[in-house]
Amino acid sequence: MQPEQAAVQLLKKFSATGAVVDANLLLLLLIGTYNVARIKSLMHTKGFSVEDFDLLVNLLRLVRRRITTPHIMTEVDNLSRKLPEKDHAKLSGTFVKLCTDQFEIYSESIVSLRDKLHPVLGITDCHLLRLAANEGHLIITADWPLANRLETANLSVINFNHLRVV
Amino acid sequence: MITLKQAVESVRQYVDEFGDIFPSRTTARLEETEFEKNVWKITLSFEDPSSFASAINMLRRYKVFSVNGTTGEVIAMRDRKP
Repeated sequence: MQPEQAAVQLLKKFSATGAVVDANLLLLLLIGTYNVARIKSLMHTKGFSVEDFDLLVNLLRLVRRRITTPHIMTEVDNLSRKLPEKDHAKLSGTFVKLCTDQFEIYSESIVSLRDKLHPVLGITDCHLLRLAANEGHLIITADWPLANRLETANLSVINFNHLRVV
Repeated sequence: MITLKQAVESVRQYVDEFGDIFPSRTTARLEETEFEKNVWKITLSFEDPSSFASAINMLRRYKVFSVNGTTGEVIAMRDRKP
């Protein structure tokens, strides 16, 4: 099966139960929604293109229940603030609109810190692994170490890079 | 700065040029990209025909290629372990 078909199947399967968009892609979604021209001006999104942003938007149209975590939101907030200060007010408004309907799942940081994978993956990704393993959520990421861990453990993941047209 | 497409094309040419090192190059899959300090780091995976993870899924090997962000030249390649 082609990666595109597999991704669409997964997104439809998890549409109601929920999918988590990892920080790197949520940042792309935020910056692109704010102003696509800014994708290339932010260090953490300049590796993406407008086509990648469009692809992500189209994929997420298939997800009715988008899940996030405070760790993801904080990462995205911090990284988006690398844009000039004059952008922050409008960017904040865009972030609010983008995330209003998200369902946020909280987990104490200490649980991730105690995870044996914390040195490798960090707090955010340790929590994502638990969300996939314990609560059966789909993870959408462009982060290979995380995607690989999930795939190897037979958990549900879409590596966004498999879908990019390059 | 060259685009990701140009960087990936450079890697494809590199892989084709050293085809004997990449016997399963037609199975290449983009896994991760990073752009930092004017270098694209592109992780590709290749099916490993010598080992099977299951009856239908072949194990994959991972390599990361460093590409000069101005010239597009592949300047390094290394194995990447999961």
